Amino acid sequence: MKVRAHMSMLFHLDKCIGCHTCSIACKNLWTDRKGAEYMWWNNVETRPGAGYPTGWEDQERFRGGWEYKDGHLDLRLHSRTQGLFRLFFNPALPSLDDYYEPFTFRYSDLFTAPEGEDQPTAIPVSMITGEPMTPEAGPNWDDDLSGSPLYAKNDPNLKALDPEVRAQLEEIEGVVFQYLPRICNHCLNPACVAACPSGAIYKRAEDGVVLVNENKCKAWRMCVAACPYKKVYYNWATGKSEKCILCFPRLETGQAPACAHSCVGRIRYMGVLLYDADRIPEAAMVPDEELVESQLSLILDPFDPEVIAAAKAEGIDEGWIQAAQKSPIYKFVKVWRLALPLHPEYRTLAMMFYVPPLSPVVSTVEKAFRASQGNGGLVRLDLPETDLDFEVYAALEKARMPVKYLANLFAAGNEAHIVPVLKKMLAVRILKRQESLEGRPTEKALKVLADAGLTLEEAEAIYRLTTLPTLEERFVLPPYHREMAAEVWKDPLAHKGEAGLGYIQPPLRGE
Amino acid sequence: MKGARLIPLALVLGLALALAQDGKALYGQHCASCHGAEGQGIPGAIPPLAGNPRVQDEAYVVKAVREGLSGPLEVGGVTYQGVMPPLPQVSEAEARAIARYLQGLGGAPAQAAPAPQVQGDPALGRALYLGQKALQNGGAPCQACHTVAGVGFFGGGALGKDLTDAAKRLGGEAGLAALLENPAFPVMREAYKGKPLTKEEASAIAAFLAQVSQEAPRPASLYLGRFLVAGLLVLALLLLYQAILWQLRPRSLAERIRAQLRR
Repeated sequence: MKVRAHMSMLFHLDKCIGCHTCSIACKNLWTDRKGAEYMWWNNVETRPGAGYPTGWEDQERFRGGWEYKDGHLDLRLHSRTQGLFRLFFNPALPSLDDYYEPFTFRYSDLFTAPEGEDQPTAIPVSMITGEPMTPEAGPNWDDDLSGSPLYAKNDPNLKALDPEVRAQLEEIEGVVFQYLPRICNHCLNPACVAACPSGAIYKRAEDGVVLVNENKCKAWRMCVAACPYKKVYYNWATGKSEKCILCFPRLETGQAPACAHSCVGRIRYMGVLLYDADRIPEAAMVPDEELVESQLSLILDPFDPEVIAAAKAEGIDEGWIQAAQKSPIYKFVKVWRLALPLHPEYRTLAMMFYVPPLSPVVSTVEKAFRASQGNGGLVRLDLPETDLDFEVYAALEKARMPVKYLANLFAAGNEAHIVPVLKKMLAVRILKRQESLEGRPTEKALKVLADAGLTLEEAEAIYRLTTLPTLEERFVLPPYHREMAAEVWKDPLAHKGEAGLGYIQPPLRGE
Repeated sequence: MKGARLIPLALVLGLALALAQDGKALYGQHCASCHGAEGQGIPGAIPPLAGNPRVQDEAYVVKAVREGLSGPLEVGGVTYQGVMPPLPQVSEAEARAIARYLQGLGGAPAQAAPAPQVQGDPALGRALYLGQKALQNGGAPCQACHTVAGVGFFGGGALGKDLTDAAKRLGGEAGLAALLENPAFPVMREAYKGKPLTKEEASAIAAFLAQVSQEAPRPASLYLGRFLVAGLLVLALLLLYQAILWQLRPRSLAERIRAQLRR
């Protein structure tokens, strides 16, 4: 057992309101630079949808992640020999068309336009050429299912769905969508690291952040193609690849990443997970339907004395172990089993976790019921909400967001992982609703709770951490002890005094 | 002590003898292929050296050997039109030795020796020239470096001279055959070192070149022009192929959706 610590983020999708504040915070902090205009280290997608870059989940096209074949794990992108021949022509690489042509508006026209009959307008101009252009795509062009139904229809996760269910999804009365905020998953088995011919990408041992060494990057762009989440980007101005750095300078100074900190819906949680680095290969080499289970088995119990001893032997600080014990991520992922990794079938062992969203309250069950009463297809909300909850609980397979769809996103298509999660979340919701209506947990609610496999205390804890957490409960950040790292080569007090002074080497093309 | 005085004289005499012999060997190596083993020449093609008054002028011989000769030359009442190639590989001392040897030949008048019978097959010569039939000792076919009028759309190689008028320049069929067997040109000499042409091959090629000399030589710009036009045609085809490939490329999802939205 080789214990390592990992900073992980959790997205509670049931709380996401799709406001894109995270994306803007990240953009302003990190990618508001020349050559990075098109990059969104953090982006929010509407699902069903094609995402950003368009259709990134289509690995037949983009060839990201790993393939498990004949007992070994291979990059889907290419073998070493193939890679040598594709050094200068890599057809799996996304083009700027697959992202979008970044644009801005010529605001100066508003002030400098000559006097005329019409109001001056700020026309859109390309951020690449500076020429006027008509924007035809953007990082969230299909936001809230806008733009066109074409985007939603082309969601690869809809592939395994019944044609009937798909048709229902497209009906105007039944339209349903959810949001999917995405950052780099800081995987345990990162395909970008494996694909880099220059050895420029590495995973920090202390907190698992995957970083590109801009001094070593030689612009082969294999990482861009190999990352199944398309979260490594190529900066055309510096000729280097860039990616989400999990705001490590903020983490090291005790602040949550900018996206998490700015989150309006407070959907994001940050915390430490302890994992067993020795077992990563075997965890990545199991059949698709066992992937979630094998990945979660890598995450170790921070209260287990054996694990604590092994962690200390690996040099993990007491403060980190305490942070792991208080980690909200550990609770959601391992204790309550409410969170799952995004697309485990890519076998990169993504370390950002998602609590899948519940469907809108009104289910297709209710709609069918109304139709049988002769009330046509339109949904009416006059049924008591408490009854609706029980109906949805009893017939999850008829939820408006198909369970199969969620399974394709978060469980490699294995619905058996999604149903218990949704049941637990619904059971907590039913319980709290009954409590506030009746003043006490009703018999019916307790039965549902027991069926979902939760105790009253657990349900209360889930409820508190979901709805009422404080900043310190959402972000349990370990002490990074940078002063100890500085001590190795310098007087920490002198280092502190000199922080921010010295030479900056901007990344240069060809260096 | 008289004997002792004679020693240097003997040495000088011995050296002179050695040099003269050396001159004969050098003549055999560098000159005999064209001018004949006895310096008799080839009537009408290559002037004789034996009994030729010009060889008495050592400086003239050295210059002719090292720098070559060209233009009309009258020897014994016969005018020769050929070209003698320069032989820079022969050093000045060696050239002098050859000159001395030639002076020694002097007495005998130029014998009108019968022209050696050269009867090559021009068809075989053409095959050898083009490389359709390999040279027996592994030498490169002539076409690799030379061009002759009327053979090949793009001509042949551009390294060596146009051989259309070679028969006229280099002493007719007989002269060419002799030259081919033991080439005097420095580059050609190097190229065929260790893989000489056989007598039959040389005479066949000589026959072919004699036949070709009826043609008018083409200007080099003709071949260059043809090459350019053909190159541009091939380039146009390549570009067309690329344009077709580009049209047939798989469209990305983003492109497909945008194309549908524009409609």
